[in-house]
Amino acid sequence: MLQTIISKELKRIFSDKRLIFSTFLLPALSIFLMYNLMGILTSNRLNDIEKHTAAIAVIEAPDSFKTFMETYADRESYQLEYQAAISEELKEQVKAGDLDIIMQFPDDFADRIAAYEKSAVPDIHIYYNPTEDYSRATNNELKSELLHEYHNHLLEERFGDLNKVIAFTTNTGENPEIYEIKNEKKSSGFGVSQLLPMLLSIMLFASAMGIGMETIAGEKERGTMGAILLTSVSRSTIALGKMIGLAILAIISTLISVIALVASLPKLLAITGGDLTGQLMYGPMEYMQILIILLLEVGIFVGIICLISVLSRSVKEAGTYITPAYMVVMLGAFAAMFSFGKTATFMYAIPLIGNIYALKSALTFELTMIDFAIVIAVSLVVIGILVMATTQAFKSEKVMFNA
Amino acid sequence: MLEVKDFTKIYKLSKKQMKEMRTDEHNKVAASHIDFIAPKGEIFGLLGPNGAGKTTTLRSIATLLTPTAGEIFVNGVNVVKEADKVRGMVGFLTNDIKMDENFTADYIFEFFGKLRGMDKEQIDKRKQELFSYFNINEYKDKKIEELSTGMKQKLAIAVCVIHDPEIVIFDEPTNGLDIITAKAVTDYLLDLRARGKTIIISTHIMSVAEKLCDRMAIIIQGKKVEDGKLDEILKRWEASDLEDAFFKMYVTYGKEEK
Repeated sequence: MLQTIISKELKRIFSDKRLIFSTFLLPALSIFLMYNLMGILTSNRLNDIEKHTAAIAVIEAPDSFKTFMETYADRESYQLEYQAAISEELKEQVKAGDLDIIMQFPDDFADRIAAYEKSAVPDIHIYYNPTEDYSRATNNELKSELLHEYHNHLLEERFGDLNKVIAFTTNTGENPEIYEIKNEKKSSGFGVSQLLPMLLSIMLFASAMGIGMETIAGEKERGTMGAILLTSVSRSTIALGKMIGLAILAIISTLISVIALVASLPKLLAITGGDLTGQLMYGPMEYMQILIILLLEVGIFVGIICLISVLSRSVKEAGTYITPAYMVVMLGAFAAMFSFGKTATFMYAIPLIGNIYALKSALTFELTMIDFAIVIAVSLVVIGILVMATTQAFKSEKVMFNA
Repeated sequence: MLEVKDFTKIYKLSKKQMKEMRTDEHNKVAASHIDFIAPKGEIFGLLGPNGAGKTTTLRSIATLLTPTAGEIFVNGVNVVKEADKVRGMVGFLTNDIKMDENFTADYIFEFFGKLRGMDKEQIDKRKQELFSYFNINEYKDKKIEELSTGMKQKLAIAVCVIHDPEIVIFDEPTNGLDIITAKAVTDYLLDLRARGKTIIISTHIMSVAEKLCDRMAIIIQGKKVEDGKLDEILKRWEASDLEDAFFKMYVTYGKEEK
């Protein structure tokens, strides 16, 4: 009987091309296109900023600066316009994005540099627009590169030998990566651990939500559930059949979405600044942990969705009640994404949230067997409670027939 | 045989329902102390206006609702204590319960056959009988959503009696049907009677009851006010037909409640 009910739930989706498209293919296609598009646009934006020739108005530029710029290696990246005084018109240009930076030297800059023992240190004013990408990037680049080099140039002129004022440098070798002492395994999973728990959890819930509301609340609303309840099949079997059917559909939908996600991962990681240069180093243990955590997560999601759906009189009502649960999942997913450091053990005991954190920890090889056991135990208890509550709801005439 | 003894059903109203019904009462009495016997091989009619408690009574017989008080026996089996057994003996057709329209007639028939514990051979044999009787064969591979209202009703009847139940309950069986389909439904009921089944129908159309029912009970505002054979009822109420008798009953018992 259980198999008959499960196969009906599967057939309902798989016998309808429109439902196959909307349940499985559309979310996967959306993920693939969306993340690829986001990745391409982000890469283009970063490349564009990198290639951009910064337009800078230099006010009261000292001769030493002009001379320096003639020999500065990266001078092609800057288009300098020397002006005598700052004006409101120039500031308006920065505000409008037509000019990236106004760099204003004090009018006595050269004198103060020359008489440095008696004068105050001159301050260069850099006006920029933080809401413009080019202006913001140029501001950072000016300080860390061009003006840093100019500063060293002046010091060298002043003391004849730069080593007189530089006590030490840090990691200036040709290959700075040799100084990185990292856990290769953790590093390989770091990129995916930032995004996958969040995306997987949200996708799992979203796919189960759409099908689940239709499977139970929809059948109640249309009156097709009553025909099944009239048979000698126990209410527990009907409830379990619906739940297992939904879980299978949610897993299939998520797997297809995961394939789309993995296909877009290189682009997606470009958005967050991560990379996939290292090979993922997951072994059988990690894959088993990830699989079990995901299955438990599906169980909890399906339980929540089925319970809410059976308690609702219509798909619309179910949607209203499921939305807050979806928000909790999203909240947990984002909290896990932005969490840093080792996850405290008690976090794994929080139903639903614990699963998302456990998934992240499993992806970074940080999930201990104790943490894993806690997640399994808590999840099984929660799933058990949800299954029992859903089964009881199926037995209630008040719930099933609004009596 | 069906035996309803002192059946009472009281619904507890939620605050939302109280507000919708504009009442301060926390309970709604849908059926009160109803009793009747529907003998084997007869058509028993449960008559009354909309909201009288007919559907509540029928749903309780079909084990979908639990009586608040009283007892119901289907062939001597208590519907509360042995609900699963009763479900195997009863076929219930009501407009509130529909077939899933995403599937074909063929699939839905097989699905319910399996849920009724029938094997493939039994399902195929029954399908052949019922699909031929109701002329469904031509449409069996079409999705139910593509079928006409009449054909949907015929399929619903076929699914309802797939397990060849001893007791057949039809709630407003001809409601909303065209004259040809309604005739096919009433003919089938007469056919079931001829085969010795116990049939209970509910209707608010008196002419249907007059034509089909061997015995009947009239329910007004949740209470049984009359039962017996047609001629006995007409004689007691000095009425020319059932409609006339019903209005006399309604004036008498309907007023009391007000």
